[in-house]
Amino acid sequence: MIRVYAIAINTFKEAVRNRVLYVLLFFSVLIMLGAWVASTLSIDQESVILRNLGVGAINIISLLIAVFVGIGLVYNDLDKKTIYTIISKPISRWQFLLGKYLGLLLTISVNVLVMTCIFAAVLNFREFVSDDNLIKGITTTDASGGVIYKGIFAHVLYYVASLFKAIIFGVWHILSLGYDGVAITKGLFTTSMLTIVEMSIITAFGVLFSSFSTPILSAFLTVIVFVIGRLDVSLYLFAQQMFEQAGRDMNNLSGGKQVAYYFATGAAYICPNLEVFNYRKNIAEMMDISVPPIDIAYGLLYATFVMVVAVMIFNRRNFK
Amino acid sequence: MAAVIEINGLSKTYVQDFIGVEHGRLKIRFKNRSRTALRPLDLTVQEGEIFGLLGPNGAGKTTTIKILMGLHFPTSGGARIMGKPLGDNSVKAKIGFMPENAHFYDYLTGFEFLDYYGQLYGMPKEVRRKRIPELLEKVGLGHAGELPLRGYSKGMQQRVGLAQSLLNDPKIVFLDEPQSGLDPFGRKEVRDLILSLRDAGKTVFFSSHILQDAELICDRVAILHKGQRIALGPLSEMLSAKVKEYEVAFSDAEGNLLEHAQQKAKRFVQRPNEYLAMFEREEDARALVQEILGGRAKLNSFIARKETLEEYFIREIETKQREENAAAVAGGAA
Repeated sequence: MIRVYAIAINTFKEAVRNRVLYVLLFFSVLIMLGAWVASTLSIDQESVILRNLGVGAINIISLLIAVFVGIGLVYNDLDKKTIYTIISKPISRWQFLLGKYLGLLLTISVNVLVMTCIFAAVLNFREFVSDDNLIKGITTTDASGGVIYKGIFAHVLYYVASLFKAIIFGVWHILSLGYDGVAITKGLFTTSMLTIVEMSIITAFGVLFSSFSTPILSAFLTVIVFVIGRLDVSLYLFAQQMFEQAGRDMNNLSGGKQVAYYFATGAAYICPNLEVFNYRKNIAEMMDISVPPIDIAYGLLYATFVMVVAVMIFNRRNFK
Repeated sequence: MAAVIEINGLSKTYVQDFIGVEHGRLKIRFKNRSRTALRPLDLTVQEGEIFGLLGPNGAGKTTTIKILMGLHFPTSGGARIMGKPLGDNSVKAKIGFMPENAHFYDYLTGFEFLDYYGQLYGMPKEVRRKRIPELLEKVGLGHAGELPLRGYSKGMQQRVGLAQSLLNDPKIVFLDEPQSGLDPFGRKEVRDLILSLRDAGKTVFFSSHILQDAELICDRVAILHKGQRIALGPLSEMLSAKVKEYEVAFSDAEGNLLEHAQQKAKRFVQRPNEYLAMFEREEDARALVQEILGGRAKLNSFIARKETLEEYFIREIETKQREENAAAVAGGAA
């Protein structure tokens, strides 16, 4: 286990020095700021739009990290023959693959947490500089009750102070796990944890595909699994509806429709149902979130299963 | 001496089954092309010897080593290292391996890199702390332990590769082309290191296409050509029996000595200050030397030129090639 740990930590170190990671993190900040700007365009849906886009950004960026950083790291070891010197050490192939996987998961988890903190900061900042607060912050009242503008410097200072306050509050909300007590970031920590569970499945698929394929194809297939996973229930329902309309008789379906039926049903069964980890709507509407423990177990079991298949393939492989 | 590596009928045929994107196109191929990299190979390496696996590029040297290291699986046959089957972790703990042109994590410093690999061996921290600086010193990187690998020259990369193969103080060291890409000085250092490993009681199994280097240090060699073993044995036996020619160098010749020499010699060369006569038969050469020693000239040198490994190698491979061509022609005629 010490060996798996060593590989995981080294993988994390490798990922942290990867430039792609920072580009993606930068993008997540851009998306959240963009979401804020977009949210101001709507009159009464501001908060809903911002929350929706923010949680979505965390999700998509973690997917991109899993795909672009994760697959790259596994492939690099194979491509640059680093694996030669690792597999010839007293290490089994499964230990190598598991170490890589756990290292990637650690990378993604840390990044999800960082992004969640950023998002919480954005939410707080928005609150602090809302119209009412702003007016309070940049004006004073004189003896006769008249409102006096404190000047451009006070204006700037107010924004800077709000930003710092927002960052501190944001990080505090997430790290103190006091997420449920604070309305503004309610449920954010829970959804981020679910994103990590979701990514544990996606990363396992990434590792599986890169254990036998090229990085481009692996990335493509991994994204497809994600998309199907998110549409899983719809896909299944679509097939069932088609079946119902045909009077529950396959013979009434045309050839093309039969293919579509089997494809949709098959894909829905094979791919993970990622929709169970998606509580974006609850976050947007600031509703309560309660996650059935069976969902978490489902996610972890699924990831384990995919990793077992990956190890089985990896065990038989000749390293070029 | 006990056999530490036993290779029995090891063969490898690569079949191309491939799903992936190549040159921007999705390609799917299933087992429609195959290439035999290794025909059944038998070899035994004894404890404490330096064994050279030699052959031109594509002869199957690296394939053999990859199979021994558990990186590839043989198509048929098998091998045992220290009596255990391939891929056994207890064996891997006692061997070292340096692949050809491997790339290591270049963001790590030399020390960090070896420390990481030490963890893969399950070495405790105190042992790593003590062993790594010693090793860095041994491979001549004592000054570079704190530099990241990305700043290392090719020679330094090779040395750190060697260092990682010696981390666990292995009983057998496998080196794949340890001298490729090194300058003459670096090659000599690697040779010296291999000899010092042997002196420390280790077995060294290495592959090379640089024959001069192999000739200087190997106890026994096997020569591979197109996946087939075409020679195996101690270097001394392979080469000693074959004196290629006798060379007599002399000067200040008197009388008809020059004519005698020219008549008998296979080749005769006149240099500014001396004559060189090359003979195929020892008697002819002896006769000339006796004449010279009779006081009719000054003897400068008398050498029995042995065949070099390189000449042996080329001759064996050319013979093989001719046989194959003949077989092909015969096959074509039939």
